[in-house]
Amino acid sequence: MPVKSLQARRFARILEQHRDSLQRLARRLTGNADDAEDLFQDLVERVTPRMAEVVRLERPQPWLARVLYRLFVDRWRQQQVRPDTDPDADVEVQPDHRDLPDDQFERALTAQRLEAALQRLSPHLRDVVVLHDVEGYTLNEIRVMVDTPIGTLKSRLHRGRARLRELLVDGTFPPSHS
Amino acid sequence: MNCDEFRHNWTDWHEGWSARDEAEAMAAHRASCDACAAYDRQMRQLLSQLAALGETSARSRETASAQRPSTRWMALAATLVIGIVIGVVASTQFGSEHGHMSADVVPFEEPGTHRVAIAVDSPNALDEVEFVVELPEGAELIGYPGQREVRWHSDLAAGESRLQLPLRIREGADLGVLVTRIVHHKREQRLEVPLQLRAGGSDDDAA
Repeated sequence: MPVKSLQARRFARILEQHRDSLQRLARRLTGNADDAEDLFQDLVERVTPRMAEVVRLERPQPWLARVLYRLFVDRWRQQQVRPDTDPDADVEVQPDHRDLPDDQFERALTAQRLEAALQRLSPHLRDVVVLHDVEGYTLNEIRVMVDTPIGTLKSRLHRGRARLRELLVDGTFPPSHS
Repeated sequence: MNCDEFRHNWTDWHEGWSARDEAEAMAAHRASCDACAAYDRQMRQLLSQLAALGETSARSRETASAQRPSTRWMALAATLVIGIVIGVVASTQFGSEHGHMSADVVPFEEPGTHRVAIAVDSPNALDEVEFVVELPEGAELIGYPGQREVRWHSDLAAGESRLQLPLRIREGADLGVLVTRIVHHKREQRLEVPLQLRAGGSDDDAA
């Protein structure tokens, strides 16, 4: 059997093995299924010429996720109408004193409302929360993926979580000031 | 410590990034402030729900025969869930006899927050089951800083339930064996899970 064919089969198997998690990440990043599918196809096109490299990776998933994320930032986010202001200009997060009793907070915390609140976060905060808290990547993996220092990621993670809670407590989803 | 500081430092504390004295101050403030205790509970609920968003599609791909844990069990698990799913590492069957099982080694690629899931299969629904988790040096259960043993009571649904343990692994930890004991009316199932922190390379050279 030709070496190239064996490599191609291994490459296809790796892509298939990680297809679900990568498509889910694409869906989280783009916010809709159609764009997610296009982004995933962009990823396949980007990495296919590098299949020899991919099949040698010990842990291909974080590597593929990083490529996917960078494709998203380079090609897709630029097309978004919504501007993303300097995400670290307001590093100091203001403590939130809007409290709700536990039962009211629990009622506010539906998956649908949480999804809506995530979409209200500024992109840089949303990326870190989604990658860390939803998709389960470690901060080191995210550091490599988004090419941002750990300290900045920690700050964004805290601000993103605090902002999510604010949005859920408010319930009215006021304009984002993250 | 005041409420502003508690809320400002919550993520650092929750993720284990705080210094020991700051972590102790956070725990003391939570114990003395009802509003911040509620804030803490709600932030943990928020993280549980975020994790559940990521798990929803994964669960939908699982076999239809997988049994859903009881609502009460899910509520218990939800208070514990954060971090990374590393999969179900072992399962134990809660039968009529005492049992003692060992799982394969669970390797962690790096220190930080990880989650270990343990499947528990019970032929019957059980009330007031005691769960005991004994932690090796270098690992702690998130939300219980510094405690080598954590106990709680809950009901256990018939069929398969998953006990999800969010762990914080310290850098350079030697680790050892994580012991989970499930006790009901003097019957006990004991499961030993060896934990290992290994130095691993990363595939950082992405496109």
